[in-house]
Amino acid sequence: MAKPHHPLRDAYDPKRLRLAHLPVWLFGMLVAIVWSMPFLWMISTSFKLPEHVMTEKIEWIPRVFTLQKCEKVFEVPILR
Amino acid sequence: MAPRIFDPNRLPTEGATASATARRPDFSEIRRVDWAGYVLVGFFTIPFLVFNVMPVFFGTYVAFTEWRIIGTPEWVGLENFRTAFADKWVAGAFRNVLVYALIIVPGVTCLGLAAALFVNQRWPLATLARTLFFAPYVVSATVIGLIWVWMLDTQFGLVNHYIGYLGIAPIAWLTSPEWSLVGVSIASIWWDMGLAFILFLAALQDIPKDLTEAASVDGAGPPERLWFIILPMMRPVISMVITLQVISTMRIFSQVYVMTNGGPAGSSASPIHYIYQAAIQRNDFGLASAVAILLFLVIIVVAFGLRFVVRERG
Repeated sequence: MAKPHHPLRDAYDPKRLRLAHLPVWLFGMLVAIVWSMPFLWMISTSFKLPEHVMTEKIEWIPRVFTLQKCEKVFEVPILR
Repeated sequence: MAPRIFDPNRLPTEGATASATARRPDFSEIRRVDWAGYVLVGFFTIPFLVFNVMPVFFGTYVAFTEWRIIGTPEWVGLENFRTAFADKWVAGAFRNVLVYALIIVPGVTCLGLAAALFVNQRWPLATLARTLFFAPYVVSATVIGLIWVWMLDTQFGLVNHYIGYLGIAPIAWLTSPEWSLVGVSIASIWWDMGLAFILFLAALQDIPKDLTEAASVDGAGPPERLWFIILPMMRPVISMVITLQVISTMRIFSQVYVMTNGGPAGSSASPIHYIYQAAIQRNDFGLASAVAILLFLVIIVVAFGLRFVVRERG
């Protein structure tokens, strides 16, 4: 149910994204994504083959998807 | 003996005094020692004294001696302090930590505040943004160092790749004396912002809505609300974050150790890194303790000085 229109409440309804705020929102979300890039990069690299880790071009999606290193984690006795 | 059950016909005062004298034994002659209390406190206090307080005093003593772990400490007076003051690496490390503080503290505070203000708008996906901004803080400093060594790699690093699109030539973030400090600082800001961000967000949510609403009724736009309402209300938290950040930055070690090991040419070394090298690699515990005490004194002076610069109350 829509609330009655009121200028003050409009200014103060924080959950609504107004068109004027869209650029700020986009910029903020972009920063948040950039902020998490080191993590994403780490996750992406964990599925790469060793020879594909250091490449001239940045590859976000592993050329060859491998679980080789994930298996290796469980070979060393970390869970003992 | 007065009956203990409640009797509505009796006067309240009468009943209270009667039952009180009847129930309570006389404590005046027995001095009871609550041993259980001491035992429970002891579980914390004894390890704290043995592992925290005693090493502090022992370290202070070692600072005035020549000691290489084996053998007994040999009293040398102020010799270690003289060596420390004459050592250009010590001076360099203290200068570096000043630069670290000048980069990391404003970076963490401003970015944390901006991120908190953004998330506090409760726009769509705010919870996702909150998670992303806080996430680095839960990872250990060693992992942060390893991720960033690789992000800041001169040839294959992500950072150099993307700033290349902006027309900036590749920067040797961690392998040149000019940039190594900046490289480590970037990783530290990325790591430390999470805590400042969460504290700021909590403070923002504590600001009463009435205040901001009253201000906007009076015609204050977002900048005025930020400057005259939100920031003054957050003053204690901002002051606390700056103080904590300064102290933790002055003790910076893990990132430095993992990312550059103090190099190149000591350009990113921190006092703790020097202490580590003196103690663990050169076995000079006397010198290491002396530098540790100097660092302790510097931190105390800076922390107390900060109380006058960033005051909690206006």
